[in-house]
Parts: sequence; structure tokens; C-alpha cells
Amino acid sequence: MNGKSAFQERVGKALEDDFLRRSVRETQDRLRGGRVAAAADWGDWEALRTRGEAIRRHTVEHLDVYLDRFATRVEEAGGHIFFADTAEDARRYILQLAVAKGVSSVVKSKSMVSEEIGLNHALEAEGVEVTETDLGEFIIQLAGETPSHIIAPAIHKNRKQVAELFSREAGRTLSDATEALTAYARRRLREKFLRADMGITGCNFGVAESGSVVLVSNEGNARLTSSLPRIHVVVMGMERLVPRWKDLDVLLTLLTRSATGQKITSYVTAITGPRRSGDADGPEELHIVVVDNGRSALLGTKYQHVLHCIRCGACLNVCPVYRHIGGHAYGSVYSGPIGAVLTPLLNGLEKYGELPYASSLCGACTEACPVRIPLHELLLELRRDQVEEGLSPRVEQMAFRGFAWMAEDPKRFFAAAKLGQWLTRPLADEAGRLKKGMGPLSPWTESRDFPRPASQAFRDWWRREGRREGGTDDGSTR
Amino acid sequence: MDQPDNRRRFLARLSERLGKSRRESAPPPEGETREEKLTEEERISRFLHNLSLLGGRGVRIRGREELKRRLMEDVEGDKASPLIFWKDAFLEEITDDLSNVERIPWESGRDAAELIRDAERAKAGLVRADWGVASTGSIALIGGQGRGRSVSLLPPVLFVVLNRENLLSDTGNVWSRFGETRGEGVPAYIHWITGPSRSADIEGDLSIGVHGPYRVSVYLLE
Repeated sequence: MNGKSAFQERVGKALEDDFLRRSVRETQDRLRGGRVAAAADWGDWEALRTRGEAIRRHTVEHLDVYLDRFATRVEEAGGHIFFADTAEDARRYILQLAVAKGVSSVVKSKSMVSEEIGLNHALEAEGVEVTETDLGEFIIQLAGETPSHIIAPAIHKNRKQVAELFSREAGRTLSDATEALTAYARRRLREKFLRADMGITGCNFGVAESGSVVLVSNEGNARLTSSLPRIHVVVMGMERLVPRWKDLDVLLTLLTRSATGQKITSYVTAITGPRRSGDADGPEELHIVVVDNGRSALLGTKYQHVLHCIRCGACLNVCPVYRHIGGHAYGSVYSGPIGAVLTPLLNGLEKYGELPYASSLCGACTEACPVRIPLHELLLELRRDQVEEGLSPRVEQMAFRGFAWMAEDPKRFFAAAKLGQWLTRPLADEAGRLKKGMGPLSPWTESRDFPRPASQAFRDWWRREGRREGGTDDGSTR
Repeated sequence: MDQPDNRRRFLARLSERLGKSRRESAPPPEGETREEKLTEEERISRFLHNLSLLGGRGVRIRGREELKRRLMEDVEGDKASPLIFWKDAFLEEITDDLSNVERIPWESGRDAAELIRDAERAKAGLVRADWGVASTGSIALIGGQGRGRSVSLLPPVLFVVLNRENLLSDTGNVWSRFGETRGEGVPAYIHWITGPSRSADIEGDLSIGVHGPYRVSVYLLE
């Protein structure tokens, strides 16, 4: 066998991290419990999901129309809008803006799409100071890491590590009590807010009928980012629209209840254009950067549904695979089931071909998704594409050819079952499970146990016992 | 940077992918809207309950005099001086009697940077909600002259006055007021606030006041 892939390395690392595994379990349980209770509290949750799905489907099917309308309204309200085909176009626009306006410091509120386009590095390379202001994002920025959960980015960090990071930043030792750490972050980040020249946010929803940008947060950092600096830049995935305010109402209800189980987040902010004449605060300039970066290639394909996603994280919170390996193992900005679908689609199966297999296909993600994206079916489609494009591993291709040869003939099948039983005997533990497989079995047993074939084959049992108690061969009962 | 060109090309690519030689619009799907018929008392009790779920404090107040009294107590209790508030005749009046409190109205004519510095050093902010929403316990604020964003955001304590007749049943009742509007027809901001600023980013442990106010009191004026 060849060496481990990068994905397997990351999985191996995650499985050895006891704190991570406990923390992921606790976060999953807390957020999932919240969602289930919030759905029950709503009542006809299924009707709401169906409505949300219909709105998302309609919006994406008419995305050209709504983006056009959105852009017109943004400009009418005094904002600027730029359409970026690629991550590089988006970075270049924002960099040029920063240089032209003499921006030396930037505050950011959590935005997955800005992670996707690698915005921070690009700005820092130009000497612009960038500060992430969401508490979780601030923590991982200090650690030089990436988010491991869509809505709880720093769950892989424990309080001791946070206290160490903050103490280093503060130049003195801080206690690891939550209140002390939070109070430090508030003070430190407030300074940054007050002197930043530019605020960069994502966009939870854009309202096409008025050109408004809607941001949700519990901490309030999105409000600060969009209120204090003189320039506000919004980076939005091109699919992030809703047609009207009343559609927004449906999707916001689905988003907050699915993400944390709250009826609404502490802050919901709708921004339409820059500050008006007579306003003393609010940005003087508003720039909205609409990002394609591979998304339009999914339109008109069987994967179009994935653009319906509203980034609530509910699929992460029910996924048994995410539960074991956490977010970083996925090796991309988007983790969990949505990441396993989206990442190979945006960045190619060649590089991320293992992700569609990071799933047990149990379908819990599909059931949890507030806009009913058939996530596990899309994972299967990706596997099919991979096989058809000849991208599946050679070993797997050979194994399936061998299996076909073996299963075609009852004698060969029977012999193979016997052989399996005999071959695995020396490797099993007392419970009859394989913890360390060999050859083609080893990638499986690296991260989980494998049940040893039963000592008695079903076919043997059936020959001796089954016919007596069950039915006859012709299906009638005796 | 030739933006119109870049927009045209971008949208043309989308149209082509979507398999249409258009762009034709179609009406968005309609669905049942939940219209709950609540009595005023039900709206009030639901509002107060939902606000408390997110850690906010709601108080029923009968009349202007009681409001003045209550505000004075809370300002004292929270040591809320300086107090910054929206430039509004009603708020001027109810804060008029606050002795030993530095009162700062948000005067739009003043230097912007100075106003923000005032909001930053203020110990409390005072605003008037445009609406309250029973189903979530939220208050909604919209932009306009004298209504600085910083007042409800920078100080550690927030006081909100909400008139009973502006308490609506559902979030949809507020959103539906901003139909299709062009240009500056929609206010520059619509801020929904539900309880204090919160975070669970350190080991899932809830902490309050990480960026915005750590205490939010809503006076429901009857």
C-alpha cells in the first residue's frame, strides 16, 4: 500500500485529539438539541422547510434576474456593486479599494466566503492589518488556524489555550475564566473597531427588491463592523439572495432556529446603502462584492441544489462522521456534509475526491437541512462521477472487479467467505473485532474497527437450521 | 474598472447556464403566512417571555411619570452616567429630571468623530423602539435624523422605550412594511435587537456583553 493521504493524516490527527472529540460532541449535542426544540416550538416545521426550499429553488432558478435587480437597487441607494468571476477578482477589487482609500486597518466579522477567497492573507501581504472580531474567529486568528465549524469556529480550542493566546496578545497573564477572557476581547477589539478604516462583513441574505444586505450575529460584531469604519465592504456568495422581505422572514426563521435553536439571534441588521445625509455614523461608502468562484458552473447541473444552502450548520451537528473527525479534517473552509459536497464541486474531485466518502450515507444531514437539500444523494452522485471519470483509486477498481468475479459463482463466493473467516482469525480481539487490518483493509481499520466474519457462514446455518423453522423453498408455510 | 461591462458579462453567464435565452422573471412562490390573532395582553406576555429567554429585561410601565421614576432608579442602579440618547423631544423630556447625570443627545449637526467618542465613553444608551415583536421578544430600530447607530451599540447598558401600540405579533409584520422600494425609500439601517450581546465561543460557555451591551432593559409604555 502507498502512504497515507493528506486527508487520512488529518483524520488520524483528529482522532487522537481527545479534547477535540469531546468538544465536537458537546457542541453537536447542544446545537442539535436547540434546533429540535425550536422546530417543535414552531409547530408545522415541515411546512416551513418546504416553503424555504421553494423560495431557495425559485431564487436560484432566476438568479440572473434577482442579481440584476439587487445590483440596480444597491446603486440607487448609493452603494457600489462589483461582480467577481473568481476569488482573485474579488481580492483584487478589495485590495485596490484599500490602497486607493488609504486603508491601513480592517476589522472583519465572520464570513465564510471571505475565508474561501483567502482575503486576509491578500490584505496582510499588502501591509494592511486585518482583525477578525467574532470571538471565535479572533481566537483562531491569533492561533493562525482556520474555522472548524461554520457557526462555532473555535470549538477545537480549550480555555487554557485561549488564555495562552490572549495572554501573549495582552503581554500579561490572563485568567482562563470565561468572563475575564471575554472582557479582554471586548476591550481589545473595541480599540480596533474605533480606529479601523474599513469593515468587511459577509452577507447572510441580500434582499433583491430593495438592495439590502442582512447580517445576523449574537455578539454584535457585525453591527460594529458595519457601523463604525468609514468604508463597509460586503463579500457575498452570488447565491445569497432572496426576492422580497417576506421571503427573508421565512429564511431567517429557518436559519436561526436551525443554527442554534434561537427564535432570532441577538442582532439582525438590514443595511440599505451607505449613511444618509444628516447621519453622523454609519459608513460613508458601501461596496458589495458578488462572488462566483465556481458557483455558476453548478447552475443547470444536478448539483444546482447545493446553492440553496443558507449556511446554518445543522448538517454538521447531526453528522456521525463530523462527530468523530471535526472540521479541520475536511481540509477546506466548508466542513461537514455540506463541505463534503461543496468543496469537491468548487475545487475539483482530483484534489478533494476523498470527501464524498467521508459519509456513512445515513441521511441525517438531509433530514436536518432546513431547505431540504438532498445532501447524501449529492454525495452519492459525486461518488458516481468519480467512478465514471476513472478517478476512483486503482485498488478500489481492482477490488470491485475481483468482487464481481467472486460473487458471480456460488462456489467461488462460498470459498471466499470461508477464506475470510480463516484469514482474519489471528487478527481479531476477544470481541471478535479487527482493530488492525492488513493489506487493503488497513485504511478502514486505521480509523475504525472491522467486524470479523462470523464463525459460521449464513449459508451453512441456513442449510442446517433455516429450512426447518422458516418457510419452504416455494414460499408457502408449513 | 468598467463595472457595467463586468456586470453584464457575469449575468449573461448565469442566464446561459440556467438554460434560458432571457432574463424573464417569474413571481416568487407564495405560501401560507401565519397570522396569529393575539389579544394585546397575549402579545405583551409573549413579548416579555421571549425577551427574557435571551436574557433581556422587560418592564411594564404605566404612564410617563412612572417611566421617569423607573428610568431614574435604573440609571442610578447601573451608574449610567454619561447617558447618551437619540435626539427626540420625548426622550429629552423623560431624561430632563435626571440630576447628577451627564446627558448627551445625539445631535446630527455635531462632529461625527466626537459623537462616536461620546457614545464610547457613555455608560448607557437610550433609544425609542419603532416596533416590538411578541414572537421573538425583539425591538426594531430604524435609521433617521438624530438616531445614531452607536447609541444602541457602544455603551454597556441599553435602555429602550417601546410604546404598547407598536408591539406587533410577528417578525413578518415588521418586514412587510418595507415593500419594494427604490433608492432611499428603505431606511439606511433596520436594527433588530433581542436581549444583550452574547457568545458561546469559549468552550460553549455562555458569556454576555462580548461586543454590544451586556444589559438591555425595555420599558413597555402603556
